[in-house]
Amino acid sequence: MNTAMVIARNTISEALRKKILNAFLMVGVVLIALTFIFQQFAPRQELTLVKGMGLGIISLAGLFITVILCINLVPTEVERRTIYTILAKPVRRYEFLLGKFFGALGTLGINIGLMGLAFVVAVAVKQIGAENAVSPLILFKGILMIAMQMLLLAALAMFFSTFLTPLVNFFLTMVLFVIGNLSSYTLDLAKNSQVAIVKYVLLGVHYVVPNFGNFQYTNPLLQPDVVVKNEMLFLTQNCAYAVAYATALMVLAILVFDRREV
Amino acid sequence: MAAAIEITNLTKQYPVPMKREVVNAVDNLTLTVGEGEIFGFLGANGAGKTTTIKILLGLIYATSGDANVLGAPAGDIAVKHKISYLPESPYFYEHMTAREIVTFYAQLFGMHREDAKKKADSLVDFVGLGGKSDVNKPVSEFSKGMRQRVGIAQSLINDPTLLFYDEPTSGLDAIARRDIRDLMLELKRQGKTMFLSSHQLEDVELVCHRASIIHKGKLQVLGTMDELLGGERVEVKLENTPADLAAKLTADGAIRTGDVLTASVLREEVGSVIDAARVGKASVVSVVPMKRRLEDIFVEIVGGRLDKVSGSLISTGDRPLINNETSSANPYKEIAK
Repeated sequence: MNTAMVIARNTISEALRKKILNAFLMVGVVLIALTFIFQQFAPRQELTLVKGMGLGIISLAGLFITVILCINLVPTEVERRTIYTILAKPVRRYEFLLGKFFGALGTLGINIGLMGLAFVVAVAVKQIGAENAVSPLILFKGILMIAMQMLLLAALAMFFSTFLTPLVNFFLTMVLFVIGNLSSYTLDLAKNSQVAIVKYVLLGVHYVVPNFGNFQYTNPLLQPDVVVKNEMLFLTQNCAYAVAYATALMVLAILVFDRREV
Repeated sequence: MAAAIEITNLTKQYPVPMKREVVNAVDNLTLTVGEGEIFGFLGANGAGKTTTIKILLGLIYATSGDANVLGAPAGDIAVKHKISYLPESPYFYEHMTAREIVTFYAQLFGMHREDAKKKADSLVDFVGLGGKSDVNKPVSEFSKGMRQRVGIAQSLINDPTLLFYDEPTSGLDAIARRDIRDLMLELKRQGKTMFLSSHQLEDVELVCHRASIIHKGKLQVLGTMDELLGGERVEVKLENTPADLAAKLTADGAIRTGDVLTASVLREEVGSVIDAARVGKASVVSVVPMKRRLEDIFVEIVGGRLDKVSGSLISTGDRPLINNETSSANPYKEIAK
């Protein structure tokens, strides 16, 4: 695993130098700052708007950073042939793949963490002097859910990157992200479908495609009236789901990559 | 001599896109490289050299046949601690300096960061990139020769027993090429085993103990450099040659320059010519075996053409081998057997 960590560190250092990732990070931070332009609403509405926009922006920037980073990690190494000198060293293929994955997670952690920090600070500043102010630290729950969603998305993109081109991978990952966010609808559609084959296809989609919609945690953070029954259980279950699903995807990725010719 | 590399009936096939056909990148290749041997692996572009090396490194998998490296199947992780690889035109992480790159690769051998840094420092200095002007430059600003030096530095991290060098001098200027050739000679002196794929036939002649030529994945010739280059004729220079001997040699094509007669005689006839010269009171100026050049053999076998400027093979086209199916028409096939 030491080897995987060496590759992960190298991946982080390279990824953080990629201008496109920095651009998304900057866009995220700037957009959060822009939330302060909404001054024409009542203070409570304004705060709700800032929180909603902030979480949305982090989620969107995180989505693009994750997909663009992860679809390219393995194909780029093959294309520019840096993988030859690495795999000619005593590096097992799974160590290489895990190193790349952990590197991607580290990069995402840094990006989402920085955006999250800027967001929490923005909300804290916005709340100064407000009545019934809630600790902005609870917003980290929402950021944690976004991070878990991105962990799962990263594993999905990495899995596809072991056998698909980046372009095909981009569209497939994006489509599955959208379908995964509509998971509850696909289940409803399946239940209400009269045609057996459609029903089973929709059920298959519902159970196979990662349920990205699970990680939506914006409403409880924006609406004080919305109460999650057992918040800790909800958060833990979602984290466990993301880790378990990502692990399964990475096992599949390792199996595919192990036989791949580079 | 124990075998460092054993390749037996190795075949690698690739499907032809849109067709139900396969192409043999490596075709039933069998050869052995001994420990401590510098082995030249020659062939035109697309002959199957890099494919063979990639199979030996476990980067790709053979369709059939066996490939063993240092006694273990190709790709074995334990063996990778003892081998190294310099790919053709090596690519590195562009944002890193030479030291950072070598440190990174050293850590892949399980070295601690500080040890890896020390190793990197010594290797970067060794390959001549330790100067103030180079040491802080990212690789993106390096010339091809400098990148090749980084490649060599990373190939020496683990003090390898067996080195796979794929076109190490390709595209380099004369000075860089000589430096790398000198390094290969030093590795030879140290008793390393090297599997050297190259288009630079002069380098192969100079460095290798044995060489092989493959074409379209098939082994065409394999032998020691003496077997490959040793000619059947010897150049004999005589002074004050007696008239009868001079007449005989001139009839066989000898050339007179002043008092010196230069004759090309068959190896087995050298003794009798020298005896005749002594009897006739002639002076023997020199007796030099006439060696063939690897380039001649290469062109004869592969049917390619050489770049007049660089001396490297630039294209073989699809010209067939010279009677490749008949061993009698290709004298080098006998050596391969």
